[in-house]
This record gives sequence, C-alpha cells and structure tokens, in this order.
Amino acid sequence: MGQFPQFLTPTDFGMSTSATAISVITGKWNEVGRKTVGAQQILNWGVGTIANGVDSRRNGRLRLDSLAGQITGKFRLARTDANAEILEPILEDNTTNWSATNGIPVGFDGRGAKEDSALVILLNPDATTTVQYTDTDTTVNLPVTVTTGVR
Amino acid sequence: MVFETKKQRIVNSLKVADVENADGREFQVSPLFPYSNTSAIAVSSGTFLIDVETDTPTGSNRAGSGFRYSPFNNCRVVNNSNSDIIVYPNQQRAQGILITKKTAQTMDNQVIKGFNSMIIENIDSSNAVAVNEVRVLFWKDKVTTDELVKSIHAFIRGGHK
Repeated sequence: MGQFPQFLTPTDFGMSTSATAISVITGKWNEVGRKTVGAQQILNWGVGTIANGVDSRRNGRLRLDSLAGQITGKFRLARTDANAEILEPILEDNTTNWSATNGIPVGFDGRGAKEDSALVILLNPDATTTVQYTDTDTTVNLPVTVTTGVR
Repeated sequence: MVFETKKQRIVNSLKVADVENADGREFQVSPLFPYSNTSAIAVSSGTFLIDVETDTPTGSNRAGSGFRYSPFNNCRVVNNSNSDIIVYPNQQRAQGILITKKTAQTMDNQVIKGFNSMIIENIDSSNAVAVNEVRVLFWKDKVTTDELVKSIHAFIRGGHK
C-alpha cells in the first residue's frame, strides 16, 4: 500500500465553476461539496501531526461566496459511508478562520473514508443565501492523506 | 446504617454506573419525529432542508431532539401541496425521489439505509409550496439481530467506514 498527501480543490468536490448554485439555509448543516473515494483507496482528512514538539500539519482554506460576497458561518469537514447513513464530523471552524490568508491547520485524522464512501464539506451559514460556485473568490484547498492499494 | 465491604462498594458503584450510563434507546423503536417545511418553497427548484441535527421536530421545543436516534431507517413524506416535489435523502442530489402533489410515500431501509437530513425541492413552475404543506415523519424500527451483529462487527473493526 502507498500513502501520500494530496490537496483537493473545488473540482474534486463537485464545486467547480460550472456547478449549479445551491441554496443554503441558516442554522442547518448544508452539504456543499462531496468527494467520493475511488477504488482501493482510503482518504483521511488532513496531513501531518503534532509530535515531539514539531507541528507538521498542513493548512487548509475554504471560502464560498454568494452574489453579495463571502458567505459567513461555519464549515465542517466530515466523512460519510457509501450509503450516506453515517455522517461523522471531523473538523469544524468558522468561515473567518477558514478563509484567512493561511487558513487553519488540518492534521491527519485516523477516521478515514473507504472506497465508495465520501468526504463531505458542510456549511452552516449565518444567513440563508445561495452559494455561487462560479464566483472567482471560491476557494477550496484542503489537505487529505491518500492511501492506495487497499484491498 | 448500611455496612458494605470494599468489594461490595465497588460492585455497587458499577451497578449505579450501569444504570446511569445504560442507554438502550438505539436498539428500541424510536418516537416519531415529525418535521415540515417551516418556510415556503419557491417555484422552479426552490429548496428546503430538513436537518435532524439542528431542526426542532413539530410539536417539540428542543432543537435536535431527534438526533439521538438518527440515522432513522423509516421515513414518510406527505405532500399536501399543489406542487410535485423531489426529495433528496441525506442531501444526495443524485438520488432524488419524486413525490407528486397530494400524495404520500413511505420509505424504509430497503430504499434508503438511513436518514440524517433531506432536501425538499419544488419542481413546479407555477405553485409555491406553502408553509407546512410538506410533512416528513422519521422514525427508527427496533434493531434486528442482523443489524446488531453488523454494529458489533463495525465496533470491533473500528477505523475506516
């Protein structure tokens, strides 16, 4: 089996500039992006750890916009199984931190998603609005750890 | 005055812990958790999201009270509106289920394995869905032996899902 870090972008989550705008409702966790795990792989959110006083975690950035500008609220990174029956949050932070210049550290999380399961991005906005994936300010740059050759 | 040996004290504390921590609710039939669209759903692909983690069931005063029993394995959608709607269990937009106006549909875990959330989309081009015209009822059947064995296996295996 091989393992390596990878940074996922909007296209990986179905959030490319050609994606259809979706409505997101305040106070609820709206799914805004999904990455289905390919064959014989495991994807874990994050890269790196804090060990022996050394922080090797890589940073991730997220930002989504509506027609009025940046959508504020909270983002969650989660994993779900192939049947979408189990939805397990892994990391949550507010949009201000996610969209900061350096983003936030996203360390390796041992709870991975196997083949046909998925990594999902959830948004709980401060106000009901519409996500415009075509906006040029859309930012998705998230570190994941890929394990290949899983049988 | 009750005298107890050191051993008995430990046993009694474990019994109390068992009672306090015992939670067999996940194996029992759940209460019914009704939800509805608490705002109107606009024509031509307007949507409404039901999120079990954050929403307050109809008639309840506690947000997220259904979350403890989720994922649910049964769902009944009643469409009282004059619009055809599509429901997307667990916000999976590739797996929509059409429910025509003035009809109802029940889904069990033979259709969808578990419900945590649902998007309701109004596909009518003329009629908006008024408040509370779509009602969604979630509940969980008692755990079968098969499901219990699977849960134990998953617990022992742990790790990736």
